[in-house]
Amino acid sequence: MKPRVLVVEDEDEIAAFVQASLGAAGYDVVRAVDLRSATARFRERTPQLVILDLGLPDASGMEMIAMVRAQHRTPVIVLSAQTAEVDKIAALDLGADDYLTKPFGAGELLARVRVALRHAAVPQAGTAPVFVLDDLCIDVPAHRVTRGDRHVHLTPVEFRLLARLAVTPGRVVTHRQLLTDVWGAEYVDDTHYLRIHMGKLRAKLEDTPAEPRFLLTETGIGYRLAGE
Amino acid sequence: MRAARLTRFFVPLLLVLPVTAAAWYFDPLFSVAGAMLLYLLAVVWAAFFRGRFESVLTALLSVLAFNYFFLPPRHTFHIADSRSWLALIGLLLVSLTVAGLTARLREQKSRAERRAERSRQAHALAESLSLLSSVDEIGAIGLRAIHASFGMPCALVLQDVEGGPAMIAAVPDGARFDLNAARWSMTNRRPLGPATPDWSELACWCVPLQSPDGAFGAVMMTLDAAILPAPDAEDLGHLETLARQIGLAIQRERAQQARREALHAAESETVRNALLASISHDMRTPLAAIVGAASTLVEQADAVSPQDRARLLQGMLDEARRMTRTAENVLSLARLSASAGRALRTDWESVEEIIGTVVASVRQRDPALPLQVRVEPELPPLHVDSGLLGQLLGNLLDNAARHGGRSPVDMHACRRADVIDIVVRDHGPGLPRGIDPEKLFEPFVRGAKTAAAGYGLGLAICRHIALLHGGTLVAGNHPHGGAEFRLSLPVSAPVNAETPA
Repeated sequence: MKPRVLVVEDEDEIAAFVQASLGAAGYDVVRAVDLRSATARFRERTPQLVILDLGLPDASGMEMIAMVRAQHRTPVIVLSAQTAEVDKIAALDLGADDYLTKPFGAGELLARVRVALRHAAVPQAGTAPVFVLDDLCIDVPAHRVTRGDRHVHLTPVEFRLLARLAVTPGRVVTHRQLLTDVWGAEYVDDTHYLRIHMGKLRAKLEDTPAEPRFLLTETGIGYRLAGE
Repeated sequence: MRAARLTRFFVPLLLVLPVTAAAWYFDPLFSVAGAMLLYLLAVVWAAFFRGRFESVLTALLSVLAFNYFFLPPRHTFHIADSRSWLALIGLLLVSLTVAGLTARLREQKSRAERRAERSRQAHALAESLSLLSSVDEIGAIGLRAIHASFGMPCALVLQDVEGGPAMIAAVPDGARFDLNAARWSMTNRRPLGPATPDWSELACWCVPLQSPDGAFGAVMMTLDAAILPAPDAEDLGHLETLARQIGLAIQRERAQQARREALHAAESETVRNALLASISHDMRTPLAAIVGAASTLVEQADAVSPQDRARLLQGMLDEARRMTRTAENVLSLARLSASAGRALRTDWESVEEIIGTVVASVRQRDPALPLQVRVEPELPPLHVDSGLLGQLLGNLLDNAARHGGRSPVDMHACRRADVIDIVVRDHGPGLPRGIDPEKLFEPFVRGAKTAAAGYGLGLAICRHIALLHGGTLVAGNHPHGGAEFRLSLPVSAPVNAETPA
């Protein structure tokens, strides 16, 4: 069966391109133009994925995320403008799975859709505790990180940081989420901890830290562990 | 207070007692004149170190003690002959004269010291006011200095929009003043209160702040008789000196404010022109290319070969992406110039990450560009707006790719003392000769048909972003060829650099 994707977008030009691109890649696309119709389509058609423009004519896309998250684990990818970092972070913290900044290309769109769907297919509780990408292996339960046959020695903080990203490979984790999960809620504003330890982690894991393969930066938003 | 008043009576007593004892002890050696000299010494001491009241009292006590103990017949206050009278009156007159002269000397000395102290206060105030850049701060610091000098409540009054007096600040907070006095003083441009011809019975001084166009405010001070029993012209003079410093600082700050506003207005005008010029050029060219390519594909679909078709489509994509970057530059410039830098969204950011993101996006849109990146390990995090800094570096790389003749491009970040340098260099023909590199940063030089043409809006916004971060951006040619742009950003320490493990 073709995976069904609900596209909530009021601008016809963007919707047309997203529909065409997803349709060509073999997805069954349903479109809605505002929050009201999106809610109805979501109930009727039970899509496997929602692509949501944050700027809807009748309401904020945030309400849609809240509505979906209240009862479902359906992945949500939000679309937003270049300068709306604050909205993106809010959407991610509210439970959106990923975001795309306009303008984006078909390649990016399809890659994000694949990651989100694959992730939704893995039951949350049994998230793969061993992450493997190329020659990088992160064995969370064994507290062991290797590149090829080389054991990588990490400090406890570095390991917790890496393990947190490895729980959701391919998905962006906001600064706030990382600081809360790794350091604790009282450290949410101390982004410089994050910068310093991420720098050390990259120095140990990456061949060229300035052009990372695994630990990817989402400027102004957070980090993601490369997923595919 | 009470203890001080009692001391004034005790000091003379305590002086006269030991002097009497000493004179008594040395009496067999001395004549009566010896005792007299000892008493005189006590009077001089009291006059010099204690003041007029104590010295007069010491003189009177000395005369009594001298009469009782040393003038025959001894142990009575009876005065036997005219020689004794003469000695007694002589002692009294001499000690009173000496007391008067010495006390005056002492008062002159303490007045000179007070004058020196006050002139030091005025200098210190002038110095600290010169560092301030807002009227509120000037008011606060100025009043604090007046309060420190006099110890009495004071306030700063400035003309409000209707020309009436409005209290801006007071020390201590909440002190109350009669603004009618300020109004009178501002209208008549004269101080009022004690030691002036006007309102001299008022327990308050009010000094107008004057500019060539008239009084624009006043400094007021409530007089407290317990602190300053007899406010005189010299005290008023000191207050006027301090007030004048405050007035000058406020005038200077207002003039600077006006200049800043004029400059900002002129800059906004320049920015508006630059934006219009940029929209008309940097956006029209790619639009024309897109419209041309798309219309070819639509209208001559059958005649276009598959290779041309692919090329036209790729061209449309490239031009559209270029327009996106131009749009971002235009938006940033508009946003930053409208808010004068308040729109910065700063956080602790890693130079390595910002460079990494920019390089990744340049590689994505131009995979063939020979781009080499070096970032020194363990650079400290910077407190910057990562989006804007990324835009700056992206523009520099775009320029290097466009004007470097497809030569290799180096990007290099390293620390140099308290700055982080990020250098972008190509190996192409370099910057145009015979033109000031600074010209490249002017908002729009393309339409001017100068040798620097071609850089558009990009470098202007780069310079703007660098300055907003307290950094510099300079252009030059590398000694071994190629254009070089150097961004230098100051390193500032995080509030808490220690990280919990």
